[in-house]
Amino acid sequence: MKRRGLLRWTLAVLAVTGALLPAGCAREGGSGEYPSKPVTIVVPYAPGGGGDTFTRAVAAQAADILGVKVFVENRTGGGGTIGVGSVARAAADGYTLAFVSTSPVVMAPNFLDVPYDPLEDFTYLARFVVSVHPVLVGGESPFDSFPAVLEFARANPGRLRWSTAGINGAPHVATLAAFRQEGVEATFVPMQGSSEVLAGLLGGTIDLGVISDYSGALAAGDVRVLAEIGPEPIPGLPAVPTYEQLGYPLAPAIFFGLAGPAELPRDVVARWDDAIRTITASAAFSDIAERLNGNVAYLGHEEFERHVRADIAAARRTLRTLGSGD
Amino acid sequence: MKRVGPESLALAGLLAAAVAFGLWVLPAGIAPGAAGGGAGLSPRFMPWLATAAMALALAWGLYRSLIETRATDGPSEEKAGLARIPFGALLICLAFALIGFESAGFYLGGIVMAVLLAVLLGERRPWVILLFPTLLLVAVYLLFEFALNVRLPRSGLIPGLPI
Amino acid sequence: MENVLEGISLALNFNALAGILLGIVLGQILGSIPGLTAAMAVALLVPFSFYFDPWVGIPMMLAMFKGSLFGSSIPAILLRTPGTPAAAATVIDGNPLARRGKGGKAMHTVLFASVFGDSFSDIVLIFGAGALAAVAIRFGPSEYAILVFFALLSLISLHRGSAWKGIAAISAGVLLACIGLDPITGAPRLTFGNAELFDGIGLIPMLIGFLAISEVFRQLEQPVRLLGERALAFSSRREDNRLSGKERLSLLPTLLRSSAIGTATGALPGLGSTVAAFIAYNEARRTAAKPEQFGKGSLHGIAAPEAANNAVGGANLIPLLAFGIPGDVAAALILGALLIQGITPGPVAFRDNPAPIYAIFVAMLLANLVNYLVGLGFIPLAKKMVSLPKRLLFPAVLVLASAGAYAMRGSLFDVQLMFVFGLVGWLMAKYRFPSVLLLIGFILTPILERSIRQTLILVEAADGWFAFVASRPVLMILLGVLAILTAIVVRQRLMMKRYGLPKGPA
Repeated sequence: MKRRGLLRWTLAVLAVTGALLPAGCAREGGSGEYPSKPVTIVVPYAPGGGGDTFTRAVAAQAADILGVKVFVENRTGGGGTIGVGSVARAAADGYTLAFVSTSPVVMAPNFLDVPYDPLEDFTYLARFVVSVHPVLVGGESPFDSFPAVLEFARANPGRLRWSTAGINGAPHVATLAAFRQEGVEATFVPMQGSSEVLAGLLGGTIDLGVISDYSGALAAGDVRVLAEIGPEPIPGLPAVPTYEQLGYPLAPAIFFGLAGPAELPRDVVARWDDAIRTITASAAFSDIAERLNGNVAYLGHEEFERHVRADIAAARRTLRTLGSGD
Repeated sequence: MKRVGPESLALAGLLAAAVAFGLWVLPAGIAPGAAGGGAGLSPRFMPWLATAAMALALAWGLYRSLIETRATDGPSEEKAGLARIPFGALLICLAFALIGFESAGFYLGGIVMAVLLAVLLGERRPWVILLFPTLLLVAVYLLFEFALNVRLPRSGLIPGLPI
Repeated sequence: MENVLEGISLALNFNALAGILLGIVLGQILGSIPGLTAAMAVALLVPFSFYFDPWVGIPMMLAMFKGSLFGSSIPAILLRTPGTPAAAATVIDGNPLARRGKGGKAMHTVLFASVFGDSFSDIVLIFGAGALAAVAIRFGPSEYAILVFFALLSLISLHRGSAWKGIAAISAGVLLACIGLDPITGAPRLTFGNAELFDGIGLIPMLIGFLAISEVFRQLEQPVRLLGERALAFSSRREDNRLSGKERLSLLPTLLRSSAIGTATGALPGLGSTVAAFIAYNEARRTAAKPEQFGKGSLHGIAAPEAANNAVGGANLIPLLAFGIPGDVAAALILGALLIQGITPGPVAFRDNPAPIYAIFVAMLLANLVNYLVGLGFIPLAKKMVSLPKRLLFPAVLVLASAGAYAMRGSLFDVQLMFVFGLVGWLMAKYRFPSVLLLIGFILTPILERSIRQTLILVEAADGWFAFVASRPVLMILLGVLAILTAIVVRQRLMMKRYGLPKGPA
């Protein structure tokens, strides 16, 4: 009796959930001019981080411009790959977009089995920010310039300890390539998060850190900026050399932008391109950018696509010469 | 020596699983550390250590279960199987976590899930069965969507309504 | 001095108070729902804080954290299902006391301990942040490795059943923690192509599954007619529903010790309130006058983890305010909000513009008071909620937990994991395997493994162990302290063997 009851139970449950399945297939389509219903932007990082804050600022202003609600949804995991992957698979109707940054699009696919192809599966709508990403040493450090660091490292192979906020990200690979070119052998200490790197710098655990969250420490003199990994000098610190000036193989501009699934309709692309151009020109946005160590750097759809593809190619080239990619 | 009971068999099975895991699943699932990847332990070290410890512990437990004539640990639960009601609840929860929420959305799915659970647990008053889950999901909606801005899965069934 | 006054006036205006009140209320409610953490809710507030007055947004966020640390203990006590990981240790003594009808007393103990712990660490923060931070910043991977290793060893003593079951449980926890991307090489481990596992198994699905969901299944084993009864009954005697002055006094030593443990743990980034709660519980039991009471409803066993996990909250701000380094998610969110407001925490802020910092201090102390008062109101409400019949309450818990587990990452996979772990935890409880040890293994392994491997890398960079240890004063001190402690313990054991002394309460 009991066993039959259990069996009937199970069947009933399965029947009910199964009956609800077709319900899921009946999705409504949008009609009329884009956008005619709320848009969702997926942020593949935890709320409160730099990219998330920027995206919410963009979303708030975009809602005004486009006249519909713009929701921000956080889907974390895998260093950004999960959220981005979910958008790659979404319907190409312009109602599901993603915040994209260098890491999940340019770097991660070279190391992980990601569920998307960064060249084929996305439409890169526009870029709004390039973040500042300097090379730092602790305030007490004996090094007062980047060449001084290199000199020490050449003379003492393996003694220089350095770190970045994550493993296999753009700053990591770029710095590895730079060291390789300079004939320097240094020890990379993997750390998780810019806080750990910063604490390591201040506590004497490591000598060099490449991170982008450091403002308090910089103002206090607890860290000093020796170089910048991107192509543009740091505003306010024009004397600090950039990887590009120093001629290193990879000088990545860590970008923050918006993307959608591949083959987005033209009108969708155009509307977002316009919207972001307007937003990035606004004073409110510049304010936020300044406070979060980012440079407002609008790039329209075509330019952005070109840049992303160039970045991906440069990264692959560099990784090939480094002989890694594992 | 005791008769080989279900406990010993289960332990032997677990032990075999642990050994199999360590010998086959682990090497398949974890690449060995990169040669030039710096000093330090291989990525396989910690999981391997844990598997070994688990295997040893299970072996010890197996030995004890075969040698000991009475359980030193207090009797395991009298009902060694899975009772009907909680097992049914588990099935309902899994059904919704795996299929129901995705296809029917969280709100509709949640109401049905709560209804099924309440009935399973013995609730018989029809108005309670329908009213309580509905109120519950309304509360969930207010809390999650309004206060927290977290969008739970939708089914897209009824346009305009967040269902 | 004017800075202090200015700070006080910034914090004591009506809007700020309203913000604190709202934050506490929201925090207590959210904390009490299994699967929801205050961190999540606060994270969503951060961007909005740009549009608020700073002195509404930031006190509100701080208040939410404090509230949630109290709120999460309520279901832990009443239903054996912790609202957040931090309350996991409170279940051990909290629920047995509630089962004896003294749930009211248990909840008041939690309230008292929570606010005590919060206030303790806030005061340490205000007066000692600089000194403490200067010491904490010297803790690197090698020091963490030692600390966490010994924490792990000492927490193993929490288990009182068969040794082999304990080892099996911890090993399972360690193994589960290894799933995900390798912390040193970045390569996937045991993910078998599943991208959702790149970050490993989430703590929330794991913890809520093992502790809350499995407990619900266990309780469902009762006969059906019992399921129609209210979930928990409360004794009608007055002294069972409050905490007397004498009892509060007797808890002081435990509270002080646990708050100290929590503050120290919070000052060291990366450890967290759950770890602090368990360590404090363990210490309280080890040094208790009546250790046999633990596990049966000892007030000390409830107060210790609660004081410790709340103390972590205040101490987390120590590295943040001293260096601008956030110790955990909570502090990182506050950092974000401060940055948006144009306030850059760090020694410079202290020097050049301390008024906002003092305002934060005042807000925190105020929030503790509000937490206590609102908590007094929450307790009767909680009693009402558990007077619902079980056959309605448990479905509600299951639905809410599903929503909470989903909300963390927007992932149904997490919900599925949660229920799978619920099943495993249920089975483990049946066969007397300690879920708590599995969780401890799971929580501590990532930081332990990472620290050990980082240490080995650093040793190689330093050209050998001797050079490495010699360069790290804190490490030398730690090793020295441990050597002395080990010598003491060994001597104790030898003396007991030689003289056949009865074992003391150790």
